[in-house]
Amino acid sequence: MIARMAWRNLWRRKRRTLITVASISLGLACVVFFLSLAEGVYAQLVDDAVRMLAGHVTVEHESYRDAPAVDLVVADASSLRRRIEGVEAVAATKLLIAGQGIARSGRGAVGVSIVGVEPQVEAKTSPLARKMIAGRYLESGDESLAVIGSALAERLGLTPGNKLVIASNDRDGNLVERLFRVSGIFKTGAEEIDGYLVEVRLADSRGLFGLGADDVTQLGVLVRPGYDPARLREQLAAAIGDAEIGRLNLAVRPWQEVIPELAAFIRLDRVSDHTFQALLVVLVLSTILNTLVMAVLERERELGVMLALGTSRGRLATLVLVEAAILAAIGCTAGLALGGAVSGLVQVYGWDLSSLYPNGMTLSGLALSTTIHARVSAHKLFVIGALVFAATVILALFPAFRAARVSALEGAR
Amino acid sequence: MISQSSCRGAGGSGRVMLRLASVTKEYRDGEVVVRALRGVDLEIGAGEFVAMAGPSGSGKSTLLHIAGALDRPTAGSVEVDGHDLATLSERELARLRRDRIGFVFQSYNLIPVLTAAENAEYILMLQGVAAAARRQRVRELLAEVGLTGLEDRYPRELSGGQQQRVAIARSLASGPALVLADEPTANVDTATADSLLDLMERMHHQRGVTFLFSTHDPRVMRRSHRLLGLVDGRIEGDGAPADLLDGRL
Amino acid sequence: MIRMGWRNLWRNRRRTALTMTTVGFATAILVLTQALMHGMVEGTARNATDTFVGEVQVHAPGWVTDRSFYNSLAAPRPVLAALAEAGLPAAPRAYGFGLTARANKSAGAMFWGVDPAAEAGAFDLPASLERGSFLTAAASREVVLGRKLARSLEADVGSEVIAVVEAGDGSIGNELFTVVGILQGLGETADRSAAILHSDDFNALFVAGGRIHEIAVNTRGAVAPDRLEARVVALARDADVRTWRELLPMVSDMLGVLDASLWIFSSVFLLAAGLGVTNTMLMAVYERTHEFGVLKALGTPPLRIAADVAVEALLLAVVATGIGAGAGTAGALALQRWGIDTAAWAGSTSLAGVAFDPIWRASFSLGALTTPVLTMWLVCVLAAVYPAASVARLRAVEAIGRT
Repeated sequence: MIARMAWRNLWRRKRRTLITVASISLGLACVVFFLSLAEGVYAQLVDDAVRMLAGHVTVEHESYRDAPAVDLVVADASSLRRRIEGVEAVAATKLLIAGQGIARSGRGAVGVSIVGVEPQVEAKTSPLARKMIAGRYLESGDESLAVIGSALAERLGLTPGNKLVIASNDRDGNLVERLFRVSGIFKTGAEEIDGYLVEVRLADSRGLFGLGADDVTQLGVLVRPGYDPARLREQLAAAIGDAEIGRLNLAVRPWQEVIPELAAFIRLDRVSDHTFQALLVVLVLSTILNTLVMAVLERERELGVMLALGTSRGRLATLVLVEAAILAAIGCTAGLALGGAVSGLVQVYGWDLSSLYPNGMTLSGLALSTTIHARVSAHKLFVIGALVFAATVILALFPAFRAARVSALEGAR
Repeated sequence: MISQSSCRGAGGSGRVMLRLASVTKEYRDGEVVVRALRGVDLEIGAGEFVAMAGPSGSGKSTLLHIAGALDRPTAGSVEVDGHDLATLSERELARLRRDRIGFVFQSYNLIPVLTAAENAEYILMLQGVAAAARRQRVRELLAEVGLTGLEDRYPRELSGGQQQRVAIARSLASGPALVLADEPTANVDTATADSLLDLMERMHHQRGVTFLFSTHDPRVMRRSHRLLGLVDGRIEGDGAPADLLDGRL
Repeated sequence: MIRMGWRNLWRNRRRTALTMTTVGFATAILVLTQALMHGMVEGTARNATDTFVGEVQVHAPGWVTDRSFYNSLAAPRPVLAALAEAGLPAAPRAYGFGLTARANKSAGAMFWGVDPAAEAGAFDLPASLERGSFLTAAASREVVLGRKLARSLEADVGSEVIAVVEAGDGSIGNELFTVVGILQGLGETADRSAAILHSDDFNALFVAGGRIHEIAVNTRGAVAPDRLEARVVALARDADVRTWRELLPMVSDMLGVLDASLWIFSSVFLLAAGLGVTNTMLMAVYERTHEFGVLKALGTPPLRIAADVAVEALLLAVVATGIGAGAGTAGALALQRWGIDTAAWAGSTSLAGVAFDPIWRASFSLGALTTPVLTMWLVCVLAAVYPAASVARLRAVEAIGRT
């Protein structure tokens, strides 16, 4: 009967209840929407970054992170690759040789990153191959061809077909030089990539750095969609085996360790997002509290009658708590449904922001697609809903205590 | 649980249902101290049908509140159905009200979100009576007070007289020993007042419930079996209604 | 009329207090979020400019696109003197490309010739170190390296590195420097290539003869951007003057994105606060239906009732927003003073060439009060007058009958 009374009490003031439910659900929907949008952006950033760079999980020499040098190689790359590709969650593997050097043309010289790649793998996995603005991406037979970023091309005055010299130290420290021809120019919109990246074939980079036929500096692993990248690291470590990891001095690193700037940026952005979201929830909660207190104050007499009839004070408090719980449950459900639905639509269809940002968007040095796809997580929805629900019921303790303190005389008039 | 009275049938049985001894009640109204009751001594036996009359502010409501364990006296002792109220805790008082005392208020005070039947059921629900049993009892009770067919209406859909019938049914549903009614007929016309009195009297006869009610209406006073006259917080008259009203006392 | 409204408010203290609390709280939250949002945008801009870029830079015409060693400012000294006289902090810099080498490692580097005192006066660069210390005031063959450059050379504080450059007179400059400091992450270009020298060492290495390629001006927000640009243009007539937004278009874009998303955020906040306050005012006014009925029965015209309620609502709003704005301002000033330390969650972050201060500070200005306060006033009055007017149109008996 308490639940029935609580339910009917709420609908005595339809307008008030509806406005309260609307403010809970709108607030919550906004929180869910912004959260999903941000998660979608993060997911896209991470996905682009790991595809362009060294995968969700990177296998490399354990000392490479501290002092990236081409002599710190992963030997026996092809046998490792076979083991890794046996893991179910693995979508693709990419072999990379990343070294530093100087790119020189008639116009000048710039310090660059030289990355040796397998063209046929990159063409399928890396967004770079789809961002060519002149010429074409590398192909398997392209000996001594290179693709370079647009800013680098501008600074060195290069167009497809032009020559450029790459100078570097080989694994023994000797200064080496090699002539390449520009095959294509890419533009990602990110300064770090467009201004400093030169991609060549794996075999050419081996030649440049003097590495062995089965040596790479990184073996990148991409996770199959639907599998958890966080668990991939352990699965890979298990597939490679401790003995092999020890023998080759390997480290199996998640992307957060390989691109710490991106991981830090995402954490920083989450902190500020969560701060605003929390403030929004606090604002909404304060209006709920107000509604509940009003609802108790205007009913003091009625609560007094119930007390006079022999209702215990605990039961009066429970009645108010149940009312709050119903209010919160409706508001939270509606909010999650609304926020989830809108986010779901944006997840499926994307939200085209190109009219807002004609120059494109970049974050953390990574070019973002101007079409944002949200990412809805049922787990997060549940946690947010539960938090708001719990907070509402806890706040309702205040008016509930107030209700339990009414005087029976109040009802006897 | 407070012991159930075994007393049945009309008229006094010799057992005391309500005893007030030297009860005074003072409360502050802003700057002024109001002395609502100034030493009331009163005994009402089980099964009596008592009316209480007096001008506004004479202390009728205060006396009923104190008798009904809604308020505590400033001084003096109150005993209801053999229980000294001063010795009972807040929780025990709530239980006493629930199980042994019924209330009828001037402005009905039904719970607006409950239907007629649910209002009558309310105290049974508090007592933990099973839903089926309490529905059965309430249907019979509402039939007795003449509300058959109106069980599912909300208070706002009932007339004043009908609401007060629901209130009487509610006060009797739990089988109380004492029903306290504060001007139960003040808000209804005379015909309705008569029929409410008929109802109360019938319940008194059939169930042996003790009634104590306040009123302004001499017609209502005449239908009581014993009349108390309250003036300035003191009982100035106590006797047969006819004697008091015709000035024979 | 105002006095009557005031007394009416105090007649039902509890209701008034409750309504005021809601309005005041909403105002405080709005003020606080506005300050936090402004702080975020300003902090990002500050981070972008204060390290070394500056608010405005002066170069020789054409230098930005063709950074040739020979394309230096024609008359840097008078410009520097004029800036100093105008009280605008500035730092002169020279740039030259060359090679750095240590043991069997070598890497290309952009050498900066700086004046340590001027850098310290205008920028955070001397303090933006991951390890070690910045250059000393007198030239003593010290170098501060970018983070990634140091890693490529496997150099640490105390290491010696060799610089090999093509000097201004066509000869090969060759010198040994001691690493005294390693910069923290300051963006890809600096991380990868910066080798910072004392200007005297730079002049000796490059035989540069006091060339200056860049004068970076930074008032740390003391002078509004437009005015600063105009003043510097007036001081450096023949040079190319650029604002940081032109120099860092990506950061500028990013701020645009941030600004837009914060704008959406603040609209949501205003909406949420508006809904809550509407609800409260509606409740407070509908509760008085009976009272309005009595007024009506006494012959008060409906318009008068609505006007009275509007005055009451406005009074309430003024007092409540006053208190709320006060509380919000106090909170915002506290967050401006101490900030929120995000380091615990995020560590230090650099993105798109901007090193982020892990302390997120609010930025409060009196102007930030206008929107929340005016919105609250408007919402209060509308949410009070609407129900009052609808009740006032009822017949008196109906209104009195409703409880």
